[in-house]
Amino acid sequence: MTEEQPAGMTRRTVLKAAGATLGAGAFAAAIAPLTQWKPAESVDEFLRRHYKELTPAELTEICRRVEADAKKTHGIDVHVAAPQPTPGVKFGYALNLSICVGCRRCAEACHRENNHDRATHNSYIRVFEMDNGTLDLAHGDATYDHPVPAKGKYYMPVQCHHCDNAPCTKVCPVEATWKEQDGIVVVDYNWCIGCRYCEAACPYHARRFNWKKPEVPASEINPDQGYLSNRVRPQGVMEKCTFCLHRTREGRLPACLEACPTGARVFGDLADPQSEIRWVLANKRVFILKEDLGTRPTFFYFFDK
Amino acid sequence: MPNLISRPGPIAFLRQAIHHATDGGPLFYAWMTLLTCVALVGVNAWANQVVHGMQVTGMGDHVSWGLYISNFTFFVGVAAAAVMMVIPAYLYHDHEMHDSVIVGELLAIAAIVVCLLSVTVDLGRPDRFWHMMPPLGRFNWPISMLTWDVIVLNGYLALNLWICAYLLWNRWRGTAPSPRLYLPFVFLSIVWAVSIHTVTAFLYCGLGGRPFWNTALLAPRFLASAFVAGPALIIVILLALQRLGGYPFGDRPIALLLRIVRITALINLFMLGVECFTALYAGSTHASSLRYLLFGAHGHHGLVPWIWSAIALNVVAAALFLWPGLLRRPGLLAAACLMTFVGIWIEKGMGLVIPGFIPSTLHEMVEYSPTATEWKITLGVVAGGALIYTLLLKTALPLISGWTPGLSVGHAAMDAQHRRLFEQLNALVAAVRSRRGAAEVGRTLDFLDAYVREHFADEERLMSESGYAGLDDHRRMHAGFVTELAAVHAALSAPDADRQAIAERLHHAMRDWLLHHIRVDDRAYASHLATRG
Repeated sequence: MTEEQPAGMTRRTVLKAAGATLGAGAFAAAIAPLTQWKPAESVDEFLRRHYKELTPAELTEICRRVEADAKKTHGIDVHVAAPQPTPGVKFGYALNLSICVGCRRCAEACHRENNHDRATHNSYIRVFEMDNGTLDLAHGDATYDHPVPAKGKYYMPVQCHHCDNAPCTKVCPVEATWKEQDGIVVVDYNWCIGCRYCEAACPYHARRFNWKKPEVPASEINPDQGYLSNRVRPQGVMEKCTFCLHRTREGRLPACLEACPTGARVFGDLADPQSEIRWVLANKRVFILKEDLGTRPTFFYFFDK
Repeated sequence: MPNLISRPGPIAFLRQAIHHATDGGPLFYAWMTLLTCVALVGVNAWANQVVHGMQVTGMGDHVSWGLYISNFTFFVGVAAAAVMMVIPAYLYHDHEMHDSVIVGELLAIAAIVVCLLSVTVDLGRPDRFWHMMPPLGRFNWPISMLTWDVIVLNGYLALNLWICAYLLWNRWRGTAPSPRLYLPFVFLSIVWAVSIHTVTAFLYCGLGGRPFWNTALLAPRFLASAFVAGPALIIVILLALQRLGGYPFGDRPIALLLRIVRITALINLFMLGVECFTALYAGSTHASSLRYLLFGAHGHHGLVPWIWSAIALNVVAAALFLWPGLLRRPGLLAAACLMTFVGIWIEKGMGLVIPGFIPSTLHEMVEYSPTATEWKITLGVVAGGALIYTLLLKTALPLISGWTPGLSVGHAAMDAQHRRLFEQLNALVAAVRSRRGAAEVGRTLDFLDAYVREHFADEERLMSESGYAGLDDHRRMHAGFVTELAAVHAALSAPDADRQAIAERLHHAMRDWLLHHIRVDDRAYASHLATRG
């Protein structure tokens, strides 16, 4: 027995080694598709620090890099800016349910403004057709397909409520999403790990995940881009409504508001007592969606009559 | 007298571990090949998912977690269930559990690996996992429950790795483990086990926007179901190891685990009932997920077959567990355990994670069913865990029950005889525990008896020839063992013999005696032989 063992062991060892080699080879073959994957354009981008740790100079350099990438990938000139919040400004949004007709032009404008994937027709806004007589979304329908406004119905667009007590920013394990000084909840697309916990946490279905690389024809790409807002997003990260911060932080209005044909949308500075939104909040019958959850939204609904 | 026999080092330990882990019969190689193939199919599917994006899954912005997170949640429970063996083994010094507790502890390690892999394959950007690790990354602790989960899961993995590695290393070297170096960690692991499933429940019940999960009963439910599925799986593993691997664990650990699942299965069903009553009786819109799950809603019925299958499996298993004769029917016992294992897997995933998303927070009805890619990746992850578990068991079990190089007395012939003694003792224990016929037990016992005498005679001759001073003491110890063996023989031949008790006495008294005798007394004469050259 002891004499035979070394020979037996050797044969067995050779067989084991052959098995291990075969296994390693099969593993290499199985994982081979990863070679087609280009998660980052450059090592710098891959190793980039968190947005909040970047100096203004680094941020500018990164914006230039995104512009160069757009030139390389799509052959177009885009302008990427990183406008900062203005101290003392707190943005808020109010929507007049009495006059919204459910035309979904806001959702369409969002789609184009924010360079959403064309094939999935993504938008940060979902418009619900509601039965008169109830505020319960269980009686709503976001998939309606007929001329509007329909008899006996009213319409309720829902988008990010930019909550003061935002459940989505609390749950993020890597601080890839946070509330800015001016009240806008943003996502750092280059920091998000794609766990989608924020999407589970949001009570307003306001967050979207990039299930694939968003595709927009070069001719349709909106060249006026913000680093934290509508630049074309990478695959596998979260995104959401940013109150069009590339516009609103520079004194313009959100794209959805500009597109609204009825004037149902009111956007402004909640910190300014003279603003229109403050007048609405003081004088209209205002309600907050799911107020009982304690999320303290800065997005309000109101009625005229 | 100085001990001149060197203790083997870590390299030899690793070599032996690799040897044990990779050596086996045709069944072992077939099993490993199967697991490897399934794992590789999973790896390939995952690589494709990373390249093409998560669009290859059945998930979407409405149901944004699916099979991966379901499987993760379930296996956290399996990992936590090891505590049901650790408590009796270490806290109550239950000897029957002492041999098999390693089966549970190693399962915890493999289950945590499954959990960590399940979360990794769910990430949209696995290349950025380092964003979570300070100082390079940012760790949103303590406010994000996910960061708590990262801490408790990795901590539990580290605790179990340390306990298993430390005990096995000492067992292999033939040294006594220092209780200071493992007992505090064992007690910590008990509390920690509860924490991993509690924190995992908090991931869900902390979300105010998802009324289906937002219930204080979630953590207790998670623990109750974990203490059904986990012990049930361990019972199946112990049965399989006894039958296929010939490891003599005996009925006692299985009986204890069965007593546990008998109760926990009922508690789990009770909690499901309580949850249903509370939500359905009040009739609030908060119950819409539950209504969809149980009965379907607005023309959507995707989860109805899943949940009723789960309930049926769990009810039948719970009824079988209550039947006193189940322990004597290993086949049926294994079937009941597998039924409830599958039942709880469904209950945690298709019955809890998925319906939390349906209807959506804006009350849209969007259903979910996993794609082939998701099944491949999930099965691959589980196969990977099973692969690791098999290797761990293959390494650990021979160490626990048999002769190890740490017991070497530096004399090849005596080492070979010692190794044989362990084998014979294990064979006898196995024969008695598995209720084989008296004739077979008698044969094994006769053989052991003869072998012991032969070995002792050889050893004493060696001592006498070398002029060993402790020969008389040593002879007395040998005689004591022979007397003990004769007593066992007599006890077993008695018509009303409590064979189970005898098996335990054999196993512990005699094996411990043998271990101690070889470690201390035999090494003394071995040193003597060594000094003489």
